[in-house]
Amino acid sequence: MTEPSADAVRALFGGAADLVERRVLAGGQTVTVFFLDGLTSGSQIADFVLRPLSRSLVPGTMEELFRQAAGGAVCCASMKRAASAEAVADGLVHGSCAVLFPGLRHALLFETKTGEKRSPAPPESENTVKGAKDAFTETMRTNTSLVRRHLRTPRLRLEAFQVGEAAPASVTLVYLDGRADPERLRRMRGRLGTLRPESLLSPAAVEELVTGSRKTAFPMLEYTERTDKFCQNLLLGRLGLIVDGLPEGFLAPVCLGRLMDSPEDRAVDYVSASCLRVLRYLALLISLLLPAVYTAMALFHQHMLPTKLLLAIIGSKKDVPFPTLLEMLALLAAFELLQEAGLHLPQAIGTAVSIIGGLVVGSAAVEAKLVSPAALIVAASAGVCGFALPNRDLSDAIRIWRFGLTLLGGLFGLPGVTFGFLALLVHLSGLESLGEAYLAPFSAGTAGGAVFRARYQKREDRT
Amino acid sequence: MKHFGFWLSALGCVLVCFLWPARGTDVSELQPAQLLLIERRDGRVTVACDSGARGVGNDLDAALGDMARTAQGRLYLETVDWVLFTPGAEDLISAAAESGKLRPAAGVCLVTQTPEKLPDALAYLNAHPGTDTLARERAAALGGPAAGTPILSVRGERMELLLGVDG
Repeated sequence: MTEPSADAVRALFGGAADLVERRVLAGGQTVTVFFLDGLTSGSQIADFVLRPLSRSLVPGTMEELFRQAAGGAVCCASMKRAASAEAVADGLVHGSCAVLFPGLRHALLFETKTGEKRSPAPPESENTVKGAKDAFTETMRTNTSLVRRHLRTPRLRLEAFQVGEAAPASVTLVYLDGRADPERLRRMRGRLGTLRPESLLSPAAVEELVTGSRKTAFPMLEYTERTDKFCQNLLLGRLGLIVDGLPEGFLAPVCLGRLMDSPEDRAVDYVSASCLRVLRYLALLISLLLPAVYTAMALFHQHMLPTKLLLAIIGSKKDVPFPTLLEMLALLAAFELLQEAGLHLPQAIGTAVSIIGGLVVGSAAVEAKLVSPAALIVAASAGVCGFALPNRDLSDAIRIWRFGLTLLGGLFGLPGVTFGFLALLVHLSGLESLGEAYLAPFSAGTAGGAVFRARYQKREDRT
Repeated sequence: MKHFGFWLSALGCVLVCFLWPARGTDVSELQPAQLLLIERRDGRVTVACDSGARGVGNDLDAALGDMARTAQGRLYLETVDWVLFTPGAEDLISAAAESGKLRPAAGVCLVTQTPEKLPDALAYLNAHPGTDTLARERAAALGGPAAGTPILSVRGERMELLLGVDG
């Protein structure tokens, strides 16, 4: 720890262009003011720090000036003392203005954050027709205020952690006192307290570090950009994490039943919601199994297909030069490539790429007899069903397993698909998120409320 | 040694892939037959299907085997919708029903003479489905109710189904 001197602060920032240094005459002595341009509000610094410093302080020793400033002569809403140059630097990067009193072992940090931040906008990836339209932003305090507005109760707890060594990030653990399981809370606090990463700049970093080095493609921490979903889950006793700089809230523990839950379910009546959920589970199975079952049937079990369907498939495959397995794997890979290309391009170009890639190239490939229409329909149906899943991480994991199951179906037929599916079930049964089984509520034997949404009158939580 | 188990499993997987007894047949290699004509000529059984494959043998199984061997591609009889028997081959109906190589749901029909073009006969029969199937013939042979086998009258290109027609 270095003493909070102007030289030490300058050395820590290494001549950063946005570090502004100002010497001010205060009470007959010269003090140094530091702030980071862009992170702080110039007018606030002028009105609430510089003006009181130069006009309100009564002349005296440096010690007396420090006492006056800390005691309220500088009328800023939030003030902290910093005992080292590192603490001063930390305050500066968090939007404070630092006042250094030469010769003293303490500096003062006044919060003068700029008001420039993104306003809450409607969610982009979790859109619903009904329900709240405010999504998380990149600013921690905006996000915590959004949560407070949805859950106006003093039992809402926010615990702050600093995580990251090279670039520390503020992480807030959010939970409802009395609802959250104390054991889970203890485990989560323990994990956040022992994390020593370089930074937490990406959602994947948060997920991997908080949940441990997971060896699965399935999400172990659920993310949401919807504040209403985040708060509903807090009411259910789950723990929330908000990371400064990330426009998402993270929820733990995670289980399959919850990952298949969509915010739309709570926005519509329970009959419609139940029908939608059945469709969603159907989509999950189709997305995972359809290419594998098609490949297995086309290669090994043609007799299991209805005659007319088989004749149609044989007719469509007649002039295709590639074997069914290769054709299906190539189509799945092409679908993934299209999706990836669409993601990395601006929205307008992405749409064009999807149309050209999906429709034009697809129909041209069928006309050129490079792929059969049946295989194309199967790959496209599986892909579209993947989009029906409410959680993108779950959808990604399903996409990976889909490839494996298709390969097994092509090599060993339906026994291979069955083996792969059982391996997936074994894998999922072995996963645990903060002590909760990943296959819950199905693992409990009674999967009530998992597929069909219960009526609010009958729900215990009624959220 | 640390990854010995992993490499051993990988080797096992590769071996299983290569030594797996079941070898699939790609659906594109199949030569599906939808109509099968069974005749008796000079004391031998002759079979022909709408895809153009033909076979001859001393009995039905041998003829079907011969047709499978000589067909271009892999002949697939699981799609046979109709089995036609020419005059003199009626006694082979029970053999066809019990052979196990044809679908029990395949329709059975007697023809007054060999149709000139089998695909035309297939189109006609698909438009005028009968009631008799190999499964019913087999049931009748085991003591069930007698199946009324329809007769397809063939005069040149004109065809007419005479008995056992739906409706």
